[in-house]
Amino acid sequence: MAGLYFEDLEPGKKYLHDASRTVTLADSIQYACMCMDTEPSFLSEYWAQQHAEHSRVEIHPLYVLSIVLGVQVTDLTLGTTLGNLSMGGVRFPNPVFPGDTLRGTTTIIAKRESETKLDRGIVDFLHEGFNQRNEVVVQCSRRGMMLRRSTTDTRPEQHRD
Amino acid sequence: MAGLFFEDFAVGAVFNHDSARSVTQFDNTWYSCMTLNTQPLHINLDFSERNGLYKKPLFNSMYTLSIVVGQTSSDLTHGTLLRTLLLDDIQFPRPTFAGDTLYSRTTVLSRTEENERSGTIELLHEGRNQHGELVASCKRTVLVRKRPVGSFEIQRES
Repeated sequence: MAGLYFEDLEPGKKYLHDASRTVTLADSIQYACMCMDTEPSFLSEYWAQQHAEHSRVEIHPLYVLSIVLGVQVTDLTLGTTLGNLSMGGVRFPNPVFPGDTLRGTTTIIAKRESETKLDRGIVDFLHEGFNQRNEVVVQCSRRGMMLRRSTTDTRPEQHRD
Repeated sequence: MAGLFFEDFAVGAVFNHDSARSVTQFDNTWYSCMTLNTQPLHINLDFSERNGLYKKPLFNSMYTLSIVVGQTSSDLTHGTLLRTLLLDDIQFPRPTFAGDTLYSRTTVLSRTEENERSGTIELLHEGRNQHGELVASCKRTVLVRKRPVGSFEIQRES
């Protein structure tokens, strides 16, 4: 199934995304290395045991955010977005540790048609991430540029409705 | 070298970070898969050539942001970071593409005393490409350690 077009997104509607995943120590170390982040609290069990606030390696908050923004794509924006415009209000109420399982929800906050481009509109989303105990681990407001169904269908012909 | 303690962050100080890296389509695909991001604009060259605004894949903006923040850690908060409290005003003024090289710069915006062992620092991170164009910016508020009295143990360890 493809994502939703501008017309399909109803302000107030909330989606619980099916895609979820467990994060591991390997994920944390790989993420930090891929981003040139040398922070020992994300990389070193030895260091974390001695110095970290929770005495263990923590999953990088930006990786947590990336997963929560990743899991919404299949349901909402797969092939129907033109890109990310801005994000804000990103908070991390609870830390995430290796072994935790993350899932996400998205609430449609508002939308408006583009004044200059007929093929697109602007949509405000609220993304929230939860661990396996239903504790909120990340919240993020995001503004995205979404395609309108009426003027374009970007999917390959064989995949159109 | 270790990062800075709360006392070391001077408001208004600007850091041009030496850590820089070029990004590839492998990075884009790998990062997207690591985060369950199925967006064809990141991982599908065929789709992107036919339907993308730029006729080529867009680099995953979360990865751009993650690199821009990551590149600052060696200079700023290595070993002194306690918690990331807030990311705000995240903007992507220009797209990033495979082959681009990302450079980061940080400005210290403010600092606030919290307690005996920690304080809050507000940072502005800016990422630029090889043409000097701004591709990502964000304000990031972090809780960092204060310098331990009479001990440099934490600073010396990595």
